[in-house]
Order: sequence, then C-alpha cells, then structure tokens
Amino acid sequence: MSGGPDKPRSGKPLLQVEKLSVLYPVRQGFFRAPKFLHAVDGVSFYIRPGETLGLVGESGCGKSTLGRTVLRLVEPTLGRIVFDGQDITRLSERAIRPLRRRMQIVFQDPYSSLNPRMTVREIVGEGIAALRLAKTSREASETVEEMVAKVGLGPEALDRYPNEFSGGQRQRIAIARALAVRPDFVVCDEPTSALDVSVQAQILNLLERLQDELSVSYLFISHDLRVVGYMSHRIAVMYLGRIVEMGPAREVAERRLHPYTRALFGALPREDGDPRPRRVLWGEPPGPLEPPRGCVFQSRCQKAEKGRCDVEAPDLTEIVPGSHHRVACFHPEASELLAPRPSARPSIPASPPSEG
Amino acid sequence: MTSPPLLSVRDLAVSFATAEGTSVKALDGVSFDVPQGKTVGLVGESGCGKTVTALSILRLLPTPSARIDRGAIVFQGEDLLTLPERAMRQVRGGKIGMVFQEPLTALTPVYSVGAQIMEAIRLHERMSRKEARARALALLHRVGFPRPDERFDSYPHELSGGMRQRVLLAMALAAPPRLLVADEPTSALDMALRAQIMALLADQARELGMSLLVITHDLPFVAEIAHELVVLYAGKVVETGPPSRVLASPRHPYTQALVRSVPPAGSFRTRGEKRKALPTLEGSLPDPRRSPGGCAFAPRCPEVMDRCREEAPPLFEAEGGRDVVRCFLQGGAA
Repeated sequence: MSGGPDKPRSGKPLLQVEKLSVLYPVRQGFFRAPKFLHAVDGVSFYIRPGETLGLVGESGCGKSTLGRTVLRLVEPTLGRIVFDGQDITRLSERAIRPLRRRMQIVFQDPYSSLNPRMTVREIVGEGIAALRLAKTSREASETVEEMVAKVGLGPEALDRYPNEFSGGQRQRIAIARALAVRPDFVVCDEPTSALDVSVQAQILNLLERLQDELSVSYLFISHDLRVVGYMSHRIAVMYLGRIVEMGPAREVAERRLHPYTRALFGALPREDGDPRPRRVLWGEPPGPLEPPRGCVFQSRCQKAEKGRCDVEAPDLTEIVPGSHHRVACFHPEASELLAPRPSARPSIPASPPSEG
Repeated sequence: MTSPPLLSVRDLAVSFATAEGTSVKALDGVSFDVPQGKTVGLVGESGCGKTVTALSILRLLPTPSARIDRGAIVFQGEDLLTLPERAMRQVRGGKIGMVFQEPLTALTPVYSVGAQIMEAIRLHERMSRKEARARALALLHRVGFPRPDERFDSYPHELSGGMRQRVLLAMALAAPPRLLVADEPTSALDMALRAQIMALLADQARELGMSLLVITHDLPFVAEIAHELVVLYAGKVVETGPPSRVLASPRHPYTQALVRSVPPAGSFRTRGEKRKALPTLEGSLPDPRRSPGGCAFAPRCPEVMDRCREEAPPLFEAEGGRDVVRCFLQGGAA
C-alpha cells in the first residue's frame, strides 16, 4: 500500500493537485482566537488530457470550493496546483492571466451566470475579445458563430438576450462561452442540476460530444451519482473536505470500497421498480468547523471502530497495487475484492452488505 | 366494492390571463384519484401543470390571473371548488397538509423552528403552550431529529436543506392530515437526502394512514414509494399506471423518453472511445398561447403519425382497463 501522491500510469497529467487545503478563519467572538473551517482538507488528484474526473458528494462537502480553487478563483491555503507542468499555486493574477484562457468553468445556474444585458453574440465573444484571440473582428465573429452552432443553437440565437431562452438553452450558451476560447480544462459545476431530466440528457450528450471533438478535460462536479457515474472516466468521492475514494468509474461504481460510497449508491432508486424500501443514508455530515478527530465519516459509519477510526485519519491508499483505485478507510468493503468483478450492472443490496 | 377515493380530481381545467388580455390553458381536463391511504406520484417536467394542480387542490391559485374553467375536486365527498373560503381555511393545513419545494422560503427566518411548529399546532387545536411544546418536540422526533430539544430553538438559517424540509414536514403533520400534498419535496436537495425524505414521507403516510400526493419531475425516486403514477404533459394526463409497470414498459412516447433519459447505471466511459448518446427528447413544450389541433406531444414525438397532427388523441384504456394512455399507438392495444 502506498500513501504517496496519485500519479497517472503513463503520460503527463494536465492537472496535478497535491495535498490541497482551503481553510477559512471563523471568529466566533471578538476576543476569541479564530477557528478554521476546513472546506478542502489535503486533497490530491490528477486529470489527464481529454479525461473527465467526476467529483461527487453532498452539499457542503467542499466540491465546489475545490473546483474553484484549482482555477485559482479561490485562494488555496496549503498544497500545490500544477497545470500542464507549471506550478500555479502562488502565481500572481498577472502571471496567471495567460493561463485563464486554458481553464474555464460552467456554473450550475444558467439564470444567474449569464449577463442579462448582453446578447448571445457578446456573451460568447467576450472571452475571445478580452484575451485577443482573434486577429480581426471578422475572425472573432466567425468563431462565435461556429461555437454557437456547435452547441446546437441556430444563427437566430446570436442577437437575442438570455431571458429569451429556456434553462437548457441557456446552459448551451454558457458552454459555448466556456469553450469559445478553446480551453484545455473546464470545471463543470453541477451543470445539469437545475434542469429537467430530458433537458439534462441533452446537455450531457453535448458535453460528451464536445469533449470527443475538442479533447478538453473536465472536472465534473455533481451530487447526482447517476450523472457522475455516466459522464466520468474516473470518480472521486468527497466527504467533509476530503476525498474518501477515487478510481476508474467502473471500479468505484461496482466495488464501492468506502462505506460512504456504498451508502451513496444505496440511496439511488432501484432501477427495477421494486417496491421494497432500499438502504437510506441517515443523518447528516458533521459541520466543517470542527471536523472530527480521525476518519471524517465515523459519525455515520456502521463500521466505525473505537480507538482506531476516531483516533487516526486513514490515508487514501491503493488497495490492489496498480489498480489506481484508492480508498481512505480502515475497514473497506474489501470482501468483494476476492470475488471476480461482476460484468453486468450490479444490483443494489436491500440490506447492509458484507457485514458477515 | 372498494371504498370511494379520498380525493378525486375530475376534468379539471385551469387557465391564466396573460398581459395581452388573452388566456392560456394550464390544465386541460385533468382527472385522477388519490385512494384512501395510498401514495400517488404526479410526474412531469417544468410547465406541465403539476404545480397548478397542487395549488388548485389547496385553492391557492393566484387571483385574479388564474381561473378554473371547469371540473371538480372532490375531497371526502365534497367539492372543494364550491367551498367558501372560510371553510377552505379549515381544510388547508387541517385535513389537507402541504409541503413545498423551497424549504428556506417556506419558513419565516425570525422565529425558531420550535415556535413555528407550535404555531401550526395551536392553529388547529386549542391547547396550552406547554402541551404544544411537548407535541412539537414529539413531531421533531417523528421526522428524524433524534434529540429534538437541541433543535427546538434553532432558526431556519442554522439548519441544512434536508433539516428544513423535515421541519416543514413536522409542521404539515401538526394536525395529522388525511391527505398530504408534497410539491417537489426533494428537488432542492441532494441525491442522498432525496431518498431520506421520500422514505420519511412514505413512513409517515403508512403510520398515520394518510394519503400522499407527491408532485415531482424525478420519476425514479417517486416510483419507489408510490402505488400509482400519473404522468402529465402540457396540462393533460398522458399515462397512468403502477410504478413497476410504468418504469419497466412505459406506453406513452413521452413517458418512454422520461424513463430513458435518466443516465443508466453500468454505462461507463473508456478513454478514446466514443459511445452512443443518451436518447433525448428534442424540442420543448408547445407554446400554450398557440394551441394547434392534434396531440400536444406530436412536434417532439419520435413515433408521430399524420393523424396525430390533426386529431387530439383521447385516453385509451391499457392493461385490461387498469391504466390509461393518451396515444393512438395504444388505441388498438386496449
């Protein structure tokens, strides 16, 4: 087992994050020393070119903060962010500017993330103009028109305002804006959570198609495990500021080594319409202001061991060497590791699994 | 014979006045039943009319813009639409409870959650503050706060979304209703909490012998607790049936699209490999200001026929008369 930094098997990662922490001082009284809110707590991961890393967790687990920190929209407190070989952790705003083109973001709410006073043409073209990516204004407008067509909107959309569009269409505009500057990396922060299911499918298809065409990398953030499982090459499961499990999407979804991962999958609706009640994750995570000593998940974990889980925090370690499947747990649901991996879709157990 | 349903919505039609002086139809002849002690899931996407249905049942439609054109909402043998407002106030929050989507805006920020639950209790039953406090604590415990006294004096902003939704449920249960109407109770919540709140609703309905009308766009989640699903599209019922059948073999092309656009488990991406796109529904809801003849779903339907554009399909019986479906393709299959 190794607790060292997670690195890809081959090739250079586009983004490498090492032991990244974001702490906020919180004063609870004028004369009291500030406490620290651990929004992100010692997180390491990498993303390869053209790859999607899915980041899943409950609200408040720090996934959005993490997404913004790797773009340097939120200042990291500790750790390192390396983008395409360059350490950007402490770069000044001026020094990071050339990299801004290469790193973009799509937000959750397509209603508040688009300027209502700008036309689609202006919104999508803003980045191209600000970063002087086009030699002539003709070239700029051609790029805008091409991008708008790529996201599936007609040319008549160009001179209209955001309020004339539905939520799904607005999200297409936001995606066109992000991709117009030809980034290498896009943070998708809950891009479909505000949309209807049938519209969600359109946007997921669009993001996947554009990734295939432009070979952009995504950090895909969502609380919806169905969406993350479907969209990602690899998945990271986050809880209370930490990554508790990470690995290839199929491995994580089928093995579910961490009890929290197992609970998250257990909370999904069963696909066969079976009316029996399924496993529900009860309770809520503790507040990030005073994270527990030891494992972050212990207060909701059925396997928590006194004297161990409440004393020592487990490292994110690779259980089977070379599998790139890592888990931070002293009692991973490892019994399945001995059994051959099921090739078909797994059924969700009705009762807590593998306690025996 | 079976007992009459607790709630029966019959041929309900609601329209809204527009700024231009015309009116648009929000509901166009919606009928469904909520049987005693059963859970019905009313499913559809934004703009289908599901919230208008909930507001009609509670008689909370905005006036004067909304108008009920025809129909009846029969609750315990009485048409709610003919009830005077005074009597309706006794029904609302009394025999019919409600839980809404936005758990933050539905609670007032200036009172503690305990005080708000006590107010709900004392609105429907005369009792001392001490008794009301004891009842409020019991309700908090019931909705999943293991140590209710620690939460009693909390203010809404101190609670998470899931906790607030549970507080709202406690208020709705203050005077145990016969029918609980939950409008998108989980849409603002995380996946993990959705399961928690749906399970809680189902448990409470079972324990209190309550009927439940859950209005949602999340078909897979409501399918887990509902006895019956009613699918709405553009103000009309397009399909009804038990969740197991609707999920496994949806009959209406719209229901089929709804079921299939949920990303399937067990489909994973491999680097450098393209895969088949998710089936999607192209286009959007028809503009309610223009109502062309024919089926409202025809412009988006993958299986549209000439007939569908000219003639509006009625509801056909399916599954030997147990279910209904509004599609010509099912017309001969009944």
